[in-house]
Order: sequence, then C-alpha cells, then structure tokens
Amino acid sequence: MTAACHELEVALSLRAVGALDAAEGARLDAHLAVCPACRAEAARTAELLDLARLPPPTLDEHRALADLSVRVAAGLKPEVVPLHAPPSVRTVRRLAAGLLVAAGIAAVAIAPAVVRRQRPPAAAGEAGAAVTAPAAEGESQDAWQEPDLDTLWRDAAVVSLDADDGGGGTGG
Amino acid sequence: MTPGFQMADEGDSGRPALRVVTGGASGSQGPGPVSRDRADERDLQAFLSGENAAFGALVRRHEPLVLSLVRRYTRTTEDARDLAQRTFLRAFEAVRRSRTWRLHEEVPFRRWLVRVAVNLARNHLRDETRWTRAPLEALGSTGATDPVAADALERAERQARVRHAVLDLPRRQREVLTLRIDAELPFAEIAAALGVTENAAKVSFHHAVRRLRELVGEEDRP
Repeated sequence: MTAACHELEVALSLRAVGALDAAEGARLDAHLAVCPACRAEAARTAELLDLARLPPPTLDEHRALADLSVRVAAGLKPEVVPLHAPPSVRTVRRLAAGLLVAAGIAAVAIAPAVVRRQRPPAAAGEAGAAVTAPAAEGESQDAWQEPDLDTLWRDAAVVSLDADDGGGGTGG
Repeated sequence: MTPGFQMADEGDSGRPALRVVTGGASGSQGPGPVSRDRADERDLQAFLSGENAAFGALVRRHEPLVLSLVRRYTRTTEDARDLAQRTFLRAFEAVRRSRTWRLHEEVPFRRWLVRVAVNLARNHLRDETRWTRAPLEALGSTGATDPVAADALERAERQARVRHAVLDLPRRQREVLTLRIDAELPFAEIAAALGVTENAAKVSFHHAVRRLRELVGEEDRP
C-alpha cells in the first residue's frame, strides 16, 4: 500500500456510500484507474456494505405502521404546555428531601427561637441574622447554629417560618 | 455557476439576492431540508396550540425515517412499530421541554427524532438477545447440491454474519454506519444528530467499515 493509497482510505469507504463530492470523487477515480489494489478494496467495501444493508421495508412493516400517528397521538399527554419548566423527577426528589430536612431543622429552630424571645434584646438581635457562625466561647448554652435559611428556602421551595417566632426572616 | 445554485448579487438590479438551495443527498424525503424543517415547525406550533391533526402530518412525514432507524434492532414488525411509537413520543416530549425552557438553540424536530431513535435503538439492543434478520432456517440447512442454491445459501450466511457484526460494532461506529446505510442521512446531518463534526463522522464511518471487516473475519488490506 502506497502513501497515496493510505491517504485515500477514508475516501474509499465514503465512495461506497456515495458521500464524495465531485472533486474528491475525481481524485479517487484517477487513483483507482492506476491502482488495482485500491480497486479491489473498493469492490470489497461495496460488497460488504451491500451485505450489511437491510432489504426495503416489507408490506407487513408498512401495514404495521399504518396507524402510527393515531397511536402516537393517543400516547401524548393532554396537558397544556406549562409556562414554566415542569419539575423533573430529580427536582421533585430534591424538593421532597429538602422538605424533610427543613421540617427537622424547623422543629429544632423554633424551640431556640422561643427561648431567645425571653433573652435580653441584644442577644435576640444577633440571633436574627441568617448567617452561620461558630458558637462563641463562653456561650456553651448557644452551641446550636442557626441554619442558613436562604439555603433552606431554595432547597425546599415552600418552607416559611412564622415571623412571630422571631426565628429570622425568610426570603420573599 | 455551481450546478443547482443560482445567485443574483444585490445591487445588480436592486432586487434582493436570490439563492436556490438544492435538497439533501437523499431525495427520498421529498422537499428540501429547509422547507421540510419549516413545515415541521409550522405543524409543531399548530399541534402545541391544540391542532391534533398537525401532529399526524408530522408523524406521517417522518415515519419512513424512523422506521429505517429502528427496524435493524427489532425482531418483529410489532416491535418496530412500538419502537417507532416511542421514538415519536419521546421526541415530542423533548421538543416541548426545550421550547418550554426557551433554549436559545431550537433543534429541528427531525434531529430530535434521529437522536431519540438512536438512543432507544441502543437501549433495545442492550435489552434484547442479539439476532439476525436473515433467518437461515428459512433457506434450509441441509446440504444444497444445486450450485445456485449453494451460492444463495452461502451469501445468506455471509449476510447474516455481516448484519450480526453491525450490532457488535462499537457504539459510535455503529450509529454512524447505520444512520448512513439505513436512513441514508447526509454526513452533515449525522454529525449534527450525534454532536460531532462532519469530518469525525466520516472517519468513524471508515473505522466502522474496517472494524466490520475484522468482525466477519475478512483480512484487512496489507
């Protein structure tokens, strides 16, 4: 196999399926005219692909598809196209997980908030900030860290804390 | 002047440029790809607006394409019909989602069909026992003394081996090969459907041919 043969290998395969443009076809034809090895290769490729091809669809196959449009229409969901993206399964799962987490954390969040209502005003104001901060030394009784409510809101999408509890504001 | 193209320059007579675009490599799809995509878009919008008849037009227009893509992977006509039905349903759902999310790139319906058909066929192949579409038993396995019958039997056996080998090709090679020889798609369209360059699709096709030859036990050229 010469260098020219090697260069035209891809073209030989494409020729068998009629995928060469005029210029490429002319170049390959000129080579085939002087290279019996490539002519034999072209013939083998053509035969191989001919064997690989399926026969045309039968009458039975056409008959089986006669009512395809009716079947497809019957399988389509009738709902109107929503304005917003419909939630995917993954989104629904995330929402459910977020709700569970939020429910658990909210239960823990409400109790300290009630307790903080009874504390001096300065301490309650600090607790209203929606930031996560390590417990300061000397405040061992406040080792619990307030959750990031922005994260909860985003993940759960429906969580809302009663503002009267003083547990911090929520988005919106 | 390039055959099939006519172009009038602006300014020659004040008229806007006129360009006639030839159709795709395969003429089996009727009108050219541009007018076909426009018809698809029109019917899709009509269906999304509630005109059910428009979807029937979409299905009938692309039925031959979808059948050509899935029938290699199915045992019976009923399986082919079911796979075709699922292809249309999934493609429609994909289009509806993409339009709902207002993606900037609006993929032509036909390209969704090809993508979905390729994926469903791949899954079907994975789930089903491999088989051949050339039932050798129909030709009889008893020794044929007639030379013509013997040749026919030999060809049928070789055909079965080759078609079986197509299903054993690496995924990308199989997809490119079958999109070309089954659906007769232009390589530009194959590339768009598979998300590769046209050159990559052509090289994959060549590799598929070589690999196919190895799988059926033919020697590669020296």
